[in-house]
Amino acid sequence: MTDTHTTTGADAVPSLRIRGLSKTFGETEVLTSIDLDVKKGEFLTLLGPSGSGKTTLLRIIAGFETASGGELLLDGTDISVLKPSERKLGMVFQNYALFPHLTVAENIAYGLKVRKYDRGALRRRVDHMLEVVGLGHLAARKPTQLSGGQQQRVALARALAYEPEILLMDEPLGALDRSLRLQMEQEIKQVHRETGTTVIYVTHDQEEALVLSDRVAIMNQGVFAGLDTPMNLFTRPENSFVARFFSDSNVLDATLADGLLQIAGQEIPVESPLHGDVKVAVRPARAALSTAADPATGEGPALRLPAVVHEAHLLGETEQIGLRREDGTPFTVRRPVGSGGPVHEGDQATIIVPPAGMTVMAD
Amino acid sequence: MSELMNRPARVIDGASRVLGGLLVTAAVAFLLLPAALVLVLSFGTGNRVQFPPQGWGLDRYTEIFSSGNWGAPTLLSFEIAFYTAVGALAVGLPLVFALKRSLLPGRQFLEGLAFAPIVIPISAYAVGMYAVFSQLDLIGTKHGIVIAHIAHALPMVVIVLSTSLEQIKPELELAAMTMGASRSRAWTGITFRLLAPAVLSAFLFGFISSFDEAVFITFLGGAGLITLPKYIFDSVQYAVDPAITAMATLLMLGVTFLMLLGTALRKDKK
Repeated sequence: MTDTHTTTGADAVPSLRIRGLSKTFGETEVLTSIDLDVKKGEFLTLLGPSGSGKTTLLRIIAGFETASGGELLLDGTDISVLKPSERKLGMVFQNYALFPHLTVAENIAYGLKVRKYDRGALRRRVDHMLEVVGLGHLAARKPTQLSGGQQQRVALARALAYEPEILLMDEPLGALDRSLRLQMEQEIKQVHRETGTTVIYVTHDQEEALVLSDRVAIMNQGVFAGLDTPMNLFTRPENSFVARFFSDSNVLDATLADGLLQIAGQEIPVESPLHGDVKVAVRPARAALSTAADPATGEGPALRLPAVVHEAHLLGETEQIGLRREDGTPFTVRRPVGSGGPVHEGDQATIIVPPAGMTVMAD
Repeated sequence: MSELMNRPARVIDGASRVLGGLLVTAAVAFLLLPAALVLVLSFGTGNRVQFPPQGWGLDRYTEIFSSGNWGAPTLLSFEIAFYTAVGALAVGLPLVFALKRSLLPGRQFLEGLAFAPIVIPISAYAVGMYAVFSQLDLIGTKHGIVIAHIAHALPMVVIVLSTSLEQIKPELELAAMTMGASRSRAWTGITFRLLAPAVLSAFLFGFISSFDEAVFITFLGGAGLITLPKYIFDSVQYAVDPAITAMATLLMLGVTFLMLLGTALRKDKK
């Protein structure tokens, strides 16, 4: 992993520092020796399939679970011994967890009341938060009278009202439909920019992670498979899991010696410090197709893989073509709609991958 | 074409709707007729219960309040029902939290135990209780009856409380705690506050189940303890005292009112 974070200098003070954190439920190890520094003001996403440990990690940070081992420091203070109420955190839940017997304004005021804000300060703060999430006109409503998106905005305002050190969000958009989700992504981003709060965000949706995050920690089976900016994870994955999970990449077996990649019986020159058995990641959009009806005129050295078209479907602006290589392994190609001739199931085709489209990984 | 296909369906639909309507009407009439009859009879006069009554008046009601026979049983019923409701809550509330919010081993067994009084035939249950109570010298005592009534009321209390608690998500408490509330503040201000209508509702249902109970008191009450239902049974054993129609009406209206109140409280949260 290379240090290519966009936030540097004074901003780089870690707000939350996690060292060697582990968690076992009975015999099962859910988290294995997690190390993580979350910088002040950073938007960090924990991304992973279900069961990868991301929610458990969030719940340990929040104080709902205790770690089996390791350190949890907030601004240098050990918070692992503190109760949830003493950790100065805010949390947004997937099911919103709004108090049904309180109005929108009272929900937002809850944390302020507990913290004994005086009347005037409390009212100003509630009004400000209502304005931030654009719900001033619904202040007197009960949560059940609001739509899902509005409820999530209240949850966000409520968690930010008392200016927590870190805002934890547990799949907050999971219950919303797609168009609303896209809109809420922008709003969360906006609120993050305006408040500058440190955010730790849990999701299993890689698009959400791409759009929102300064950095993404990709979790798999209780460890970080990758921890980097979305751009680096997307363009330069460090292992097969990250390549497959984050950018839907194809992963090929190869060997590397003296700057020459031996792959599918061909030799391609690449720049990589690795040698021996390696994996090669190819994003679906970095491969081209050559068919009898539509022969591609590739220039320069490129990997050419004979294959048969298995399926083709439209994603929107792009179309996705699933192929089977000669040895039966699947390969996916994506290209702009209309950029090539039509393909049909059973068509013979050649997959063409230029050297620039390959990322060499150790495993 | 579509008309042809629709027509037979509509005929069947209409016929079944008429039949269904008749069935519902019959069922409702069957359920309400005795109640309505008692109501009408309670405003009759004369020495015998007969329909139609010989005359109309409030004789039966004045008799209840003037005769002095009904006062003691009524008071005893209220007393036992109150302690039963309190006791059923004292057992039911912690039980429901253990069932729904803890990982207590054997909690399914506990739940089954709480519902046992529904499954076991009430007279068989009362016979069993008689055997136990006579060993413990509880026959004919108030607290003995209260204990039996608590067991009798528990299933209803547990159902009312647990359906309500299931709708209160544990995340609410967690959310309150991340916002700085102590565990006890989160519990009283959020979870218990949201459960309060159900607690009151469970209290009323517990109260009613005891107030209306006639089997346990017959088996376990001995000679001395006479609650209202027992008094009604006793009074019809040899001769029918017309005043029971008035008493039954009052009982009916009171219980219906409490039931409606209890149900309204359960729905209040939504």
